[in-house]
Parts: sequence; structure tokens; C-alpha cells
Amino acid sequence: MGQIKVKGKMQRLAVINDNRVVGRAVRYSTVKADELVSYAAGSSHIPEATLRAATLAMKEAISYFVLNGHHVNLGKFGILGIRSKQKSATDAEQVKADLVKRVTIGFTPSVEIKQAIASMRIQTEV
Amino acid sequence: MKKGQINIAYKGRRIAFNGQDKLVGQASRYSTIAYDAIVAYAAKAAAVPESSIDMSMDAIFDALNYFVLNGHSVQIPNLGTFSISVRVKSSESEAEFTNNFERNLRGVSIHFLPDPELKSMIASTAISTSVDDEGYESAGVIAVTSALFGANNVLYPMNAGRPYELEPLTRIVMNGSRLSAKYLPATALKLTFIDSAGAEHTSSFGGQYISQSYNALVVNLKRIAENYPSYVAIKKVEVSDNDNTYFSKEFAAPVEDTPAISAVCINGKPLAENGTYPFKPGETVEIRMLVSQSTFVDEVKVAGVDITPSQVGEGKLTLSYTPLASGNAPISVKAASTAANVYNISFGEAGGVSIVSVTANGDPLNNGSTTNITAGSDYNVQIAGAGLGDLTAENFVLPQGTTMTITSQSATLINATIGNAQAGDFKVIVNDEEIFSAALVAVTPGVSVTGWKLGANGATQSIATSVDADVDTGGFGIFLVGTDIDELSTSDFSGQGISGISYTPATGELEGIVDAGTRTLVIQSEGTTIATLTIIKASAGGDDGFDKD
Repeated sequence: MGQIKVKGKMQRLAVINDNRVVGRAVRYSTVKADELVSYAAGSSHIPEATLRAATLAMKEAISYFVLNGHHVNLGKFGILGIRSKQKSATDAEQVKADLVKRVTIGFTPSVEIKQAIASMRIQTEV
Repeated sequence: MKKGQINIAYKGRRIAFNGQDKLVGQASRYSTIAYDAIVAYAAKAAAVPESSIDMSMDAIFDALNYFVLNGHSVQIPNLGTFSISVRVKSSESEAEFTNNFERNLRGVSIHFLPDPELKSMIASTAISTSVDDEGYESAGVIAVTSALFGANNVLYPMNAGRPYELEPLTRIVMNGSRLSAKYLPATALKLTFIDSAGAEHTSSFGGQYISQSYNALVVNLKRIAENYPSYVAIKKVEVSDNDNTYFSKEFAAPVEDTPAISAVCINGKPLAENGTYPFKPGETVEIRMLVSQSTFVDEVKVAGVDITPSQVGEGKLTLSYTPLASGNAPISVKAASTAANVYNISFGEAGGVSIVSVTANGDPLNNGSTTNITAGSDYNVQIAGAGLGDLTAENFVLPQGTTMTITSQSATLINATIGNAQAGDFKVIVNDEEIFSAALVAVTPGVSVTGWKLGANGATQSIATSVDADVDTGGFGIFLVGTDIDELSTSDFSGQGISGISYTPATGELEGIVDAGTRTLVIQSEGTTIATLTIIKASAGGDDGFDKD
């Protein structure tokens, strides 16, 4: 079971023009790609070279499908898919690519991960 | 790598917050590529064995899972960074933040940030747009996919203490199945409600009772003002426009949301419905019951008497009740809505005998109390209650030396005489159950004057016999006869027109002078009149009958 810490910090919220305590998940560190591969290699006895080749191959495959409007299932981890943000239109003639403000890739966790999140311990700190 | 292309599809939709109809875009999703398919594709494209990729990704995702769920941000080679993110409602103070954290926690999610290379690929992706013909063009066309609401509607409480937005109607929609609409005009859905007073209200969206959201049509009941009905029920749901009725469903009569009484204990003993509890006159019993939905209980009655529950909460009610007589005692627990639910129990001995009151010579003989009696005296006793016709002399326990004779008997009243009453317990026992008990305490008889005589050795006359005084002087002299007359003194005698009273306790000799006419001499003991004596002084020339010698 995972454990994260949420830190509360007093800060000014422009929307309400007042000071409020806002909570954010504490990020302990960023595990770099190399570290992740080393860790995965150490815990699975798979050669690091194989892991690197596999992730590179997967990246190519994932980006190809995602950038062509498909959602890609990452097995027990979740689904990656395209997300977009655009203005609405009052009639069909207004609809153009210009209305699209942003396109990005979004992640939806799998049921297993969602369950792991639900059972995660959360500590608070101010 | 080939440049990607995505499509943004626009569909007509109602914007909930301003009620306007607009075309809203969403990235088209062509399909979801399965994990096995993506591994197979990667293996083929990169000439890496499929098993190696599968094993590797399994190990990578395990590591990813471990680090992300422990608060680290993790970079997947060439793809991007995953990190945990938390949404928490902001708080006014640090203490509130810590104390109410669980309540304010809105969600925990995993955030994905694409790798810079991937980002640049996104930026170069071609974007096309399209308009869904079935969207805006089909406004007003309603597809009722299914209409399987429950047969009976249910009354839902709308309490002041509850949130304004209620689930009930949402529940109805989702219970059976959904009423879905591709697009629905503002006035298409009409709901007919009945309130707690039975009045009907028909409301379109935007009406006083409801708010709405479209697409899979979720309708929320809203209580906008405090004085709106406490309860509403949906009588009819109709989807129509000016020309057509697409869907119409009328519900059966509402089911009252009445609390059901599931278990009753009296003085700690479980009692089945229609069971009988034996009680003693004057006894207060404690009734406990389990009531469903006690939150809404606002009235409790036992045998028609209002009871204030001493404890209401979590379905438990505790009441104190003093049964007045044996018989049925319906317990009703009323919800804020409608009629009461009734639970019948009976009070009274198993044989149906109960005693409400006992009197001895008119004075009450109370259950469980101590009563003074005059030792050796006779008392007329009246016993009132229920089921008394079945009692016999064997049901009565008397102090030693005391006798009892039942002079008349009915189901509700016994007239009896207790003779030669002595100190001890007076009890009534039925089927080994003691239903009445009073302790009798004998007291010494007081002073009594029963008669008089002219001379110390003369014949005794009844106290009711009048005394003749001297016709000339009005003087009289007698000896009193009675019990403990030596406790009297001169001051215990008085009477209008009587003077010169002199009393000798040792002998009981009483002298005095009366005015002409018939006079009444009052004799008192400790302030209480115990006897009266009539003394007559005849007019001059009459008989001079007085001679105390």
C-alpha cells in the first residue's frame, strides 16, 4: 500500500481574493528514466539494455497510435489518450481548427491502480 | 515517423450553467488499442522480441506503480512523466485543513506530462474538425431508450437539515433504467409532483422543484425555499413537445415513508406484537423500540397519549409510560409525513386481572404503601379494576386474625368486609404474581364516649339520650361512659348556652349549668369532635328530673 503526504500552505487565491490553506501532494523526488530502468532491471533480472530497447519500441508505438486519435491501453497501469480543449461554436459554419486551443495527452488509471489509490495512506502536514 | 492526425468532433449540446444551446467539441476516439496489440506492434516495428517487451514493460510498470504511489514523480523513458496529484478543498486555517482533510479531499489522481519530444510531435499533429449531424440538427428528437421505472413511487423527505440537492429522483431514473435524450428542448420534460398535503404541482425544467442536466437525463430535486413541502412524490413523468408525446409514465399511489416498529422491549423484556405485559397499578414501565428511519419520527403515542421520547436516534426510542388500565395499548410512531404506524400490545396480567384502586372505609389503600388501621376494627373494602370477577378468597392474603367476606363482585368491582383487621400485609395474588400489596399498621383506638349515667352506679344511657337539667337552676351532673375517658379534661367540653363546666377525669364526673331550652354539649379529643350530648332545661314549672345521686 502506497503512502503520500499532502502539505497545506497558506496562499492568496485570486478567485476569492482571500488567503486560504491549499493542499498539494508532496513530491519527494523525480525518478529519472535511467533510475527507473535500473530499478526495474534490479528487481526483475531483465538486462537494462533489453528494458531500454523495449521502452523505446513502446514509445514509438504509443505515440503513433495516440497521435492518430486512438487510446492506448498500458495493461495494468492505465490508458493514454488524446485530450483537447476548444471553444464552443454557435453554428456549424463557425467550426474550424482555429477553435482548438490545446491538444495534449491524458492518462486514465486502470481499475487496479484506482483501487491502489483508494487504499493509499494519506498524511497531512502544514 | 508519420505525422499524426486527430479530429475534433462538434455536437449540439445544452450548456448547463447558462442554458444556451451550443456546438461543443471533443477529440474523436477511433478505438482503444489493447495492450497485447501495442506490444506486438512495438515488437514488429523495433525488431525487439515481443516477450522481451512484455517482460520489460511489466517490470517498468511495477516500478512505476511503486514510486508513483509513494509520492515520487517518475519519468518513463522517451514517453513522459507520471506523478500523483491531489485535489483538496481549500481551508481557512491550518487547523481546519488538518482536521477536515478527509471531508475536504476531492480526489487523488495520476497526472501525465508528455516528454518534450512527444510534445513537439503533438504540436505538429494535424487537426481536423467535423460537426456531428445527429447533434444540432436533431434538436427536439427524443429517444426514449427504456422506460422501466418502478411501479410505485416513493415519498422522499426534504428536510431543512439536508442538502438542497437530493438524490431521490436521480435514484428513480437510475433504478429502472435511464431515460436518455440525444437532445431535449427546455420544456420537454414535465414532472407532476404531489406534496405532503396532497396538492399536485406540474413543473417543467426550471420550475420550482427541480433542476436538470442533460445527456442521460439526470434530474435533481431541489428544495429552494424553506417553506416548500416537507415531502414530495413524483406522480407523473412526461416527455413531450407541442406535437408529440414521446414518453409518459404515471405512477401508482405513493408509498408512505412511515417508520416501521421492529422490536419492542418493556422493562428490558422483549414483547411480541399483540403480546401482554403484566403491570401493577401506578407502575411506570419503560418501553424501548427499534424504529426504522427514526430521523423523521416526530410524534409518538401510546394508547392515544402523547409521549415524548427520551432518546431518539439510530432507530432507538425509549419511552416512559404509566398504563391506566389493562387492555390494548396501540403504540403509534408517526413520521413527519402521513399516517401513523401502529404496534399493538396489551397491558394486564396474563389472566386479565388488574387492580386500579382499593379503598378501606373510603380511605385509599395504595399499592406498595403503608396504611394505618384501627386494630380489631371492621372495614368496608372496595376493590376496583378489571377482570375482578375471577378472583376468589384464595387470591387474597390477609394479616393473621383478619377475616374477609366478599359481599358483592363484578368484573370491575369487589365489595368486601375486612373483619377484625390486624397489622400485616394485605395482598392480592393471581397466578403466583403479586398484583397488589399494602402493609397494614395497627394503631391504638382513641378516646370514645358511648353513653352516660346519673349516678356512679346508675344505669348507662346511650350518648344519644338527652339529659334533663334542673328546671330552676339549669344545673346538671352526670358520669360519662366510654373508652379512655380519663384522657379528657374540662377544656374538651363546650356548647352554646352552657357554662360552669367541670370535669373530673378520674371518675368521669361532668357538671355544668345550661340556659333554658335544648342545648348541645360538644365533646372533643385532641381537637376532634368525638361525641355530642343533648341537655334540656325545661321552663319553670316543668319537671325537676335532675338528681345525680
